[in-house]
Amino acid sequence: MIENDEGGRIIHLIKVIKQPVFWAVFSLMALCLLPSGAAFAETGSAVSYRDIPWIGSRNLIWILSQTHILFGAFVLGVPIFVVIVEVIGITTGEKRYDRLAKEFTDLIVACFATTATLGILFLFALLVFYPELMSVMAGIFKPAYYVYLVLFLGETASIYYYWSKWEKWQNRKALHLFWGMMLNIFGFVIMCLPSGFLSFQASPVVLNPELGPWERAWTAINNPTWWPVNIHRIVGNIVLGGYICGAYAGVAYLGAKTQEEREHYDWMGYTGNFIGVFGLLPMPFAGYWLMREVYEYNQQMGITLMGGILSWLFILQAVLIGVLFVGSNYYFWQGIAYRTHSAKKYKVPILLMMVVLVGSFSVWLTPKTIVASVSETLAMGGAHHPLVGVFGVMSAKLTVVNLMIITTFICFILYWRADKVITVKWGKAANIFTVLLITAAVVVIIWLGIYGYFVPSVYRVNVLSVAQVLAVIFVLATITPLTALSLKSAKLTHEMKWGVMPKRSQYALVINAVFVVLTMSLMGYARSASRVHWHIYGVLEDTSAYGYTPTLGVASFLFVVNTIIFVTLLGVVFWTSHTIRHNRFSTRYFFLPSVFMYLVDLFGEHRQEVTTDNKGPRFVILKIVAVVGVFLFAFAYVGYQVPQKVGLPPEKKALDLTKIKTSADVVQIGQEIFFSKGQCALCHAIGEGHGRCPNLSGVGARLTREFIYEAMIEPAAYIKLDFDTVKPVEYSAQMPAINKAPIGLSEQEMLAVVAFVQSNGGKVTVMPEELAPKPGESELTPELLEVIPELKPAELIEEESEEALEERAMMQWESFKEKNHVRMAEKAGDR
Amino acid sequence: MKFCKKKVMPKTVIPKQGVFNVKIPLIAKAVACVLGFFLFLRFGFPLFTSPLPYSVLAMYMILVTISTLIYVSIFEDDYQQFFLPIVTFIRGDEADNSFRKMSRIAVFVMIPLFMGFRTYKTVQPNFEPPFPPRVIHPAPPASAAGFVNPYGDDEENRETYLQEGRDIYYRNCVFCHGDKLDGKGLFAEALNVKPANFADSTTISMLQESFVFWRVTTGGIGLPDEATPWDSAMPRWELILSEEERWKAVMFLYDYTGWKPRTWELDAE
Repeated sequence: MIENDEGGRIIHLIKVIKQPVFWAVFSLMALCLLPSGAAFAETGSAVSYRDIPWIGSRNLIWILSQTHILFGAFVLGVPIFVVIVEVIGITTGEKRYDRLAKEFTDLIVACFATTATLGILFLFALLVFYPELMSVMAGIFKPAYYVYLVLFLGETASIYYYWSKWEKWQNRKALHLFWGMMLNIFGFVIMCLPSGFLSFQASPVVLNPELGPWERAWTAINNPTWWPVNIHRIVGNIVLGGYICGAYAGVAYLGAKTQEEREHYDWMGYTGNFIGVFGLLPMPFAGYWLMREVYEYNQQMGITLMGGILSWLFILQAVLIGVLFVGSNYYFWQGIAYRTHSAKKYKVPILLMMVVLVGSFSVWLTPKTIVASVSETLAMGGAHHPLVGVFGVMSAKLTVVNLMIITTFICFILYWRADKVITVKWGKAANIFTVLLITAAVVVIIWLGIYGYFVPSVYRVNVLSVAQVLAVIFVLATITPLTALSLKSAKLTHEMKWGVMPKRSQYALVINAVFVVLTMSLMGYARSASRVHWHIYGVLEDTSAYGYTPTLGVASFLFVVNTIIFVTLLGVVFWTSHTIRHNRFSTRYFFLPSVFMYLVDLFGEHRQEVTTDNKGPRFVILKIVAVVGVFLFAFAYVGYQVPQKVGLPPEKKALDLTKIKTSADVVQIGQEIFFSKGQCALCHAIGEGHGRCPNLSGVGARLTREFIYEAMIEPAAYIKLDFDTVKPVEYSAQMPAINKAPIGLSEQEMLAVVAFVQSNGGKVTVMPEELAPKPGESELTPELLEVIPELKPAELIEEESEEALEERAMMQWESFKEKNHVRMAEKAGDR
Repeated sequence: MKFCKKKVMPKTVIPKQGVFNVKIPLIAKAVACVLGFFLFLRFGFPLFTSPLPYSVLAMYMILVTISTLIYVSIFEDDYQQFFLPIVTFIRGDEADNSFRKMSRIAVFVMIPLFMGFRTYKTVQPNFEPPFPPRVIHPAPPASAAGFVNPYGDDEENRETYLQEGRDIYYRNCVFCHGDKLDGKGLFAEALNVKPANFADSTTISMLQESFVFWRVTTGGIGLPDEATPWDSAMPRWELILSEEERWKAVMFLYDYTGWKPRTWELDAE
């Protein structure tokens, strides 16, 4: 049967290739690729950036990377629960689980080629538009690219085996599951590797030039935010996968023709939504860990994200998360109302849950600094409202998000227990315990939240917030098995009715998925925008025309664009390759061929044949598009309501030697170099901070000028373990020589940094005069030449003996110094 | 706000043998709920605290409206009760009489009129300055992260420094930030962006010493572009006070209010 089908398809494919339309489309695609080919030819040139008219290179990269990552997230997230669903199917022996797992896998396979295509387009675009960045990245990560290639082959092989042998290996489930596991392992590693590249961009570590290529790539990948990003991403992938599967089922439900189909897709949608919510619960904790690591790595980056220009972005994120919570619960509530028999008695509990959820949501949304007109500000007596302003801080936010999680959990428990009579003896005791425990948890969470206002932030962040989270986890981990045990022997009064859900519940599923996609677009942007005007934070600056942070309105617009592109592509993939439309095109040919075939079929003689079984629910699709469009428009509108501010990179200040008059000036210049060009702050903290290398707090008092200088040019000459702490600490980072490439500070810059380091607790012994070059030495920087025109070498050469030349230079130098002193004195007089 | 909802939202079907023997239609309850909220937030709220700004009021009302709609669409009977009359009203049915026809026409005329009125109000010139939305804690420039309090570890002379800091505060800062450090100084009333209230738990206690020092040092003018339009009248104290004096003043702020500067690590002890 399958063979026949296969033969039919191949014949069809040959027919398609004979069509002129196919060649028209094909050559059009090839033409599109030509310009980028030309660009490849000149990659070796000194161009740092290229631009593309109208859309802009950054926006193009933005869209390509985001859609690629969204597809990737789907392809990597779904296998995680597919294997679990399959295992459930094996242990319970229920066929429907197996069918569901297979159907989920179909979706992955359909998206696999698209993910790869988008990835290649993304890479091409990067190479074309950001050649300099890409050559730097390739210089660091080249060995990792080979690994990536191998992993990709492994991933492809395992997805192929897992999907294509589904029917054949029905009796060899262990072998089948093995490939499922391989798929997940490859998937996880294939996600972690590029995570290393992008987290390196955000939190780079210093790479010693002496490192070998493999060691260097590994050091760069193993950077401080790598693991938090990995964990955050994998949980996010599960959430995305669950909700997208739910939305797929929702669309299929709306277009279903038979009650049997409706029942199946209703159940599939329920499972998808459940997986999404399940993944959503640990999400705040994963995000919390990532933020902590970001702060630990670089406070300024943390402040940029949470308190600075991007803080309004998190208000938008709060809107999205709130909608997700409400949307998921809405679907749950409707499940209780329609699927269970005793729905009526849940009216009051649902009302209560909704009040708690919406109340929490309103606290969650209330900003600290309220957007208000001048008269309103005056009426409030400041930018903070005396009452609702209290809701604006972290303590309140964390409390309500925990309450929202608990409420969602209660909703799930109610749903689970509906239409069941508990028969075990200890059932009543278990009920009382459940109620008491949840009440206690809620009280503790609220109390900790209030207490959080009265303690130092560090205590709140590290102790109280953690305690709140633990309370929630404790409730989840205790009540779930307890309910499962008590329901094991429960009497079922009524079977759950599947396939009777109203249409609006299916729209809720679709909207939930769209909002997850929006949230991921937003957070992807937040992570990328936290680098502000850097490609690699503190190392490689973005000097292109796009090295600024756009307004949040523009950013929101792009989130919406990304979401539309992703959802549309997903729809097209599912439509052309699979069940929403018909089974004509096998997913075995992956995405692009089936699109070709579809396009060609529109004109070809096969049209009739293809569309017979396919009076597609066009109206339903249009309606879904309209509903999604309304929600996306609403989000973009909100995006334009928050403050619109462009974040420009700081102005470049040239090293102006005429302004260096006191040691304090030298220290200030040194400070600037320390935190920028010198990259010292990537590892060294002053005051508190990470422990990758010695803390320079008060180091000026302990070390001599010569020692500091030597430590910079020859770091390994004398390795000082940190004897000031209790235990000697050996540091993981290897320090490069600062006066050599890649950092390559000049002599003057080195001295300025020494001065700055000395100023931390010690006396600065670097004098301003030392920064100027000695006469005769050719280390004249262009800036210096402008300052001291008399010293221009060209004027010195003319027919003078060595001695005379030197003498004149000396004189000029003296006069320069004198002038400087006079100027200094004048300035001092002014004061 | 949560509790108000309980009263007006439908809990159960009201028994028919009630006092008035009438069943209140669900639509009426829903409208009453939304309206009740609005009246409470708009007029009830200012009775015991400052009135809510328009942005917050609008946000809460949107939430209340949406959640009301969500609630009436969960159960099938509620859904029918709520939306059927609306659909019938718009579409008309056999029982249509002239009154219902007229009111339908009236509603359809009023919608564009209302939109026109809103548009008129929006484009009408007014004398309110535009909203000054801003970033309250902008990221300091990279170099500001390196500020370290030179007196931080000097426990012996701490008292002396605090005394000096107090003197500096009361000679320079008190006029705006007030003698209780609560932002209610003599000049405070005249300023918009009000001076910071250090006694509040959400100001200096959430910030690191180095951040506060940076704000004192560079004042309103030193704030980065992202924090504008910032009308902060805070002077650039680095032109007036020495570095040592500024640090002492910052130390005094924390000591007087009892807050601890924000740190990222819990102390080992």
